[in-house]
Amino acid sequence: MVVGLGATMLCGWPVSPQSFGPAGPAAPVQSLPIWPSPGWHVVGWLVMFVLLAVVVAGFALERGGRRRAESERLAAEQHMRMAASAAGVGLWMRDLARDTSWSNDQCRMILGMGPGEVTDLGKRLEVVHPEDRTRVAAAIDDAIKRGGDYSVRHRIVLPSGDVRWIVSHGSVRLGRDGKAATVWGVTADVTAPVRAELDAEVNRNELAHLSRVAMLGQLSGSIAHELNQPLTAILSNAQAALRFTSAPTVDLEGVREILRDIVADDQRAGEVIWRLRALFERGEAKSEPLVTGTLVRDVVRMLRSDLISRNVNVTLDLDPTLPAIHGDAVQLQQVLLNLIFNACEAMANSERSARALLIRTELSAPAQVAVSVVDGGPGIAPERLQKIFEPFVSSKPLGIGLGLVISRSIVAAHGGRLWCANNEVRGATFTFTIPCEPAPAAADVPDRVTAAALVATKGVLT
Amino acid sequence: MSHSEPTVFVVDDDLSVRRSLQRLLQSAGWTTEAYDSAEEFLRLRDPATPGCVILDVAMPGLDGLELQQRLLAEGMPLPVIFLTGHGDVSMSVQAMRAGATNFLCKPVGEERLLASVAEAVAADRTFRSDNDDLIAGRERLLTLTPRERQVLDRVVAGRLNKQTADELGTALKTVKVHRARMMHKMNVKSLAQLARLIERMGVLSTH
Repeated sequence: MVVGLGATMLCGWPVSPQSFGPAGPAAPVQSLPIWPSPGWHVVGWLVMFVLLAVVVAGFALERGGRRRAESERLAAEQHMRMAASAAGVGLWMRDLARDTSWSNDQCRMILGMGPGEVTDLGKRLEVVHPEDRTRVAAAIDDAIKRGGDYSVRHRIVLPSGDVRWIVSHGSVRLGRDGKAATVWGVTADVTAPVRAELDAEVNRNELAHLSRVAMLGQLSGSIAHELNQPLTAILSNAQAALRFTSAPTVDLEGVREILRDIVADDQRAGEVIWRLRALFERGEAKSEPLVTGTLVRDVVRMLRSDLISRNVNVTLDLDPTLPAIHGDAVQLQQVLLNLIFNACEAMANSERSARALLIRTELSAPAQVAVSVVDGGPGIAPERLQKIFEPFVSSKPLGIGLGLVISRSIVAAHGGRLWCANNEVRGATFTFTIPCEPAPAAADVPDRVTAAALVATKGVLT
Repeated sequence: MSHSEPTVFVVDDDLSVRRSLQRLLQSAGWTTEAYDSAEEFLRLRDPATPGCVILDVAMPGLDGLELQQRLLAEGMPLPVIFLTGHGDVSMSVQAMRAGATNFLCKPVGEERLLASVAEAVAADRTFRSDNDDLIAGRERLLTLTPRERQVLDRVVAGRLNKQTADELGTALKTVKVHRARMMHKMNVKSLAQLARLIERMGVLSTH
């Protein structure tokens, strides 16, 4: 095309046909008239035309490319929309400066909003379950402040009153000024998997409860003793008071003192019953702030007479400065009970001087509280060390072999780990860790789902 | 030999149980002393004080049964009333065999407790007065001359004076004199009384 164009243009040049060929013998080949002075112009023009052609072609190409890119973008967008809608994922974007947001239909559908409805932050937070609202708002604010990402799993309440679980991932984009300008995100309905998880938790809780009930036999001696002490004191005090009051001169202050002691002992007996009831109550796992040392002390107090009658000498090495952990006191006490019972069983045939039980709490990095139960028994045989956490593996004649399995699942549900190792000198150590405060940022850990939330989800409680 | 007032020792590691038992015993007119561990009791009590001890079976450290063994080993066994949270049969058998006066289950009513205490203190009184007799008997035994002792051994063994005289190679008359002196020194009026005293001293010495 360029050549053709050049040839046509050539016609306008003041050249005779002779100029192109030998006209006669007198015309020497060397003096071809076409190439002197006018020849350079031709070259110049040619170059210009070529450039022009390139530019034009370039424009044309570029326009074609842009069109292609545009169609590709549209295709990609369409693909993404299809994927998002197929996966049930809602897409949204929030402009922080203007406080406006955009979201796709899927997003509005998940949040139970009409097609044209605006989904600004206030509106979005209104949908969030009241119990989760503070947490969600805090996660978003924190991400905006950091200019980073966030991920929250929470409940929403649809206009119909239905409670659903959703997960929202948001990513904060910074503007030219370095400040958070927009938040882009995806939202998905995760009600089904969360409910499955909660059902699994309910099963775990049921199993944990059953194994606590099975523990009742082992605890009965201690419980009887713990109840007998205050009952003995109450009876003797009351009978003493009766005798004192039938004396000719009554020492009223003495009687008052006796009555005060009776009240205190009655409360003490009540506490034993209360702890017992808590231990054997069935119900969803709670998540409340707990002090590890208190947990350990309560369990040891519960087992006190049992430990005495087994001639087990208990040492507590509790770090009082440990931060609080979050979890279910009863379930964690169950783990401790199980580990202490196991330790006592292990030491049943040990020398009396070796029957030493050490319970230690310490901070274990990062942000974990470690609780160790150290016994002075013979230790765990190497071939059993591997299998000790498997179900139905028991060293006890009457054991079912579920204690450690359940303990491990309880610890895992608290986000911790339970393991064991033989001691250097003698005996074995069982250690479990539980995450503690200061809790890592909300974005770093998936939110733990509690069974209390399940009850709420199923609308039993709320 | 001690003439101090009988005392009920309460040994229990639980403060409120200790206090309430003390009050009940005091309301019944007993003098009491309380200790929070078996070790404290052994260390601080006066062995000459008569009475009895109320012991909690399950205590940290030295437990009730071990304390009972220690008291027996001391040769001045205070009557022991065991208190237990749960009626452990094998434990109660062991305690009773070792001479426990009673084995009571917590919570224990005043009638049973006070009756047991009265019984135990009476047993201690008898034991102590018997023991006083024995101590006196021993002292008297030491005042005998070798010949009088030889006569005593033979009298208790049931030998006739004649046989004794033959065995010792002395006259019958001499034996009769030794025997009369021996009976006087031992402060006994009859052969039967002497035999019982010697038998009890023998029982005590083999203990």
